[in-house]
Amino acid sequence: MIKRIIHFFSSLKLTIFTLILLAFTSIIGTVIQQRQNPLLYIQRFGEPLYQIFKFLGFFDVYHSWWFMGLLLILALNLLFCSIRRFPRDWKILVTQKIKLSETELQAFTSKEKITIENSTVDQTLKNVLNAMKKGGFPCKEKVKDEKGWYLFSEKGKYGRLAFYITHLSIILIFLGAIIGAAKGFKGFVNITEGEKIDSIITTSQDGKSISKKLGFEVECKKFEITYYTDEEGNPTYRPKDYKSLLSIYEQGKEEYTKEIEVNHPLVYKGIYFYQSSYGDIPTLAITVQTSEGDLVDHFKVGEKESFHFLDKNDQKIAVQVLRYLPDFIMDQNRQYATRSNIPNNPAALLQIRRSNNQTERTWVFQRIPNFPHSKSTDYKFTLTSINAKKKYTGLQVAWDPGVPVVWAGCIILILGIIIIFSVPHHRLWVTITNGGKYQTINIIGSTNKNKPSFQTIFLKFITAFKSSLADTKK
Amino acid sequence: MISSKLFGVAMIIYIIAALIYVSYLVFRNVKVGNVATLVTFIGLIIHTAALISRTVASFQKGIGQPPFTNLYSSMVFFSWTIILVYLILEFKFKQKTIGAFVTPIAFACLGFATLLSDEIEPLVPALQSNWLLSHVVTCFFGYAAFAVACGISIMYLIRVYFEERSTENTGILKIFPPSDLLDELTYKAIVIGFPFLTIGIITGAAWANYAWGTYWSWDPKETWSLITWFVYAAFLHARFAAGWKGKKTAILSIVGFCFVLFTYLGVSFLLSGLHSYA
Ligand code: HEM
Repeated sequence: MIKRIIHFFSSLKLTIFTLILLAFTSIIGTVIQQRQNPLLYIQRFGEPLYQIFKFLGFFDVYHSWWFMGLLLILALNLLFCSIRRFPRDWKILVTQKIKLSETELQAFTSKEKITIENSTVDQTLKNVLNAMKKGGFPCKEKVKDEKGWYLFSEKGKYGRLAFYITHLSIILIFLGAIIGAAKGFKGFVNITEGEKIDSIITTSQDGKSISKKLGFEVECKKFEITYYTDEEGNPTYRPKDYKSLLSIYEQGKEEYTKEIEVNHPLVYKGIYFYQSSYGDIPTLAITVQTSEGDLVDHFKVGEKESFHFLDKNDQKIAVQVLRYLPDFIMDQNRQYATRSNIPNNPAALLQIRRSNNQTERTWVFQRIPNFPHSKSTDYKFTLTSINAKKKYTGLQVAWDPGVPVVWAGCIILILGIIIIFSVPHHRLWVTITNGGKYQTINIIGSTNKNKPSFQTIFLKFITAFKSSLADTKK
Repeated sequence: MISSKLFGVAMIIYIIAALIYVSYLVFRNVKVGNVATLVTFIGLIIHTAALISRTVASFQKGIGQPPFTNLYSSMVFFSWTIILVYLILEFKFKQKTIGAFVTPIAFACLGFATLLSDEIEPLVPALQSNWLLSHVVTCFFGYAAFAVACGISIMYLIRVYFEERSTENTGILKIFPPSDLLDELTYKAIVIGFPFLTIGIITGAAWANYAWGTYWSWDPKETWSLITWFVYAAFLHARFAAGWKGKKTAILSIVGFCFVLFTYLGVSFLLSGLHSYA
């Protein structure tokens, strides 16, 4: 029973089956967008199909139980295959058999037989050793018995180890990935120029945002952005480069400062801070007028901030900027969003609260100053300008203690594959059987891969060998 | 642009080379074969000059990018690697007949590129990296080797088709190399491609790690390159398992190349992701 399990898990058929199954199931995750909002899926597939797909893990294929199962089978396959193969390779590496039996000799396909007449064993041995060297396979070991001599030569012996290097490196990569998933974290943080933060936002397993303390503080000292210019040299909105000057503080003391940009992260205590985005912290200039057009006041506020003024009866009216969208769009379902971070169509949603706690909401647009307000408002709000002097830098924060293990696995994998393909193990046995006045020479060659190209090498060797023997005879 | 004109010249030379290779197939004249190789080699030199001139032009424009960061330039680069890998194989294994099947692929890539805009466009910050260079170059060498393998596998299947129907050594059977050799050459080409694809995927992961903070995010392009890798790994192992020789592996090699094509072109057009630039 155990034998059969081992057999099953070390079979190459299982390898092919698993690899092809992995290939085809991986396609699912590239066709269905992964880890989206369930509502989007229901809208797209309908409720029944949604439930089936959800059960099958199609919305998070690469973390589903069956995908993990396939990877586990692959890992077990690799492990069992290596373990099962090892004793045989170890024998070949450490205790190479020099004397082959008659049946073993018959098993090889590359062989040649030569008979030498009118010579002594010692003379023939000398000539054969010389001929082997000339043919490119110098003798490594020789033994003698009553029948004659047994000579052995080999090349690329340690190439056999490449099998283990290659296959176990994949397990190493898996291990690295597991370490990263179990212990690491991933999140993001936006820091306004001049601000300091001590925690970031990460996403938990069930999709909730949670705040995570870093144990130190990060300050964005400066943020800079440059844009590509068009043919006339005017700046466009295509960013060419953006950089943040970050400083790390431990207990209030500045420890480390680095300017980061895309592809050049800051690393502190193994935690990577990558430049990933940026945005404006806009200041909105809002003018308030009475419905007759008399100016009440000007205000400068940011998103989520409030201002207030007094009405004719000296009652307080408080106004809060609920949302600011630099590039306002609205779809058929009256859902609004911003198309970009570029102020093409700046809009703000204001919430107006009177002293009697009566509230109302209204949109104001910079480009459409006369956009009709809700009827009940006796004041006119105008978005006169947007000032975006201050920016925030968007950082991705990641800590993955598995990364070094993964890289080690990758480098070993590359080396292993290159060696496995380029260092074959060639072995050559030459026996000299003494028949008194004549000697029979048997040459047997073997390789662990690519028999046809070895056959050419073998024949070349035989030719060189024979001509060398012929030379010494003269 | 000068480079575009040179690419056009290379394209014409490749179609001429393809015709000479076909006549070599038919007449089996050594001289014709040598002319075919020479013409292909001249095409490669002009193609190389075109790539260099495009890179220089890009630096002069102040963008300074290696010449394969949009579909047009990656296409002309792909075509270049196919010819290079083919010539290396031809030199090593002295099999000129395959040229008749490979040069048309290079021609088709260049032809397809002429339909696209040859504008040199600036790069978004995430693509300005040395990892990009090693990633793209290794991937394309892998793709090119797989393209050559696919061409040989098609030849194999054609030959086997006729072998099964006729015992006489005429027609196709006389022209094509023996099926064992074709099978072996398919394997050889994949042996060249597989390490390149492996390095390509790993440098891509390294690049992603520096640019986005994760070495693997199951982005469609990443996933498809891994899928392709699985298929060729299956191919390599299939050759060791009993019964998986000849036809079955030839089909696997062709399927593998379909996956390569989808990874390269299909993903960009049909699926969305970080790689949608190319
Ligand atoms: C994704 C995972 C794997 C990769 C990348 C991989 C890679 C390779 C490579 C590159 C070769 C050399 C092929 C050749 O010389 O043509 C090879 C050979 C081999 N692999 Fe794998 N392999 C993987 C999984 C496995 C598994 C799970 C097994 C378990 C049965 C296995 C068993 C073998 C065997 C027996 C050979 C033949 C080695 C020889 O005799 O030289 N491989 N593998």
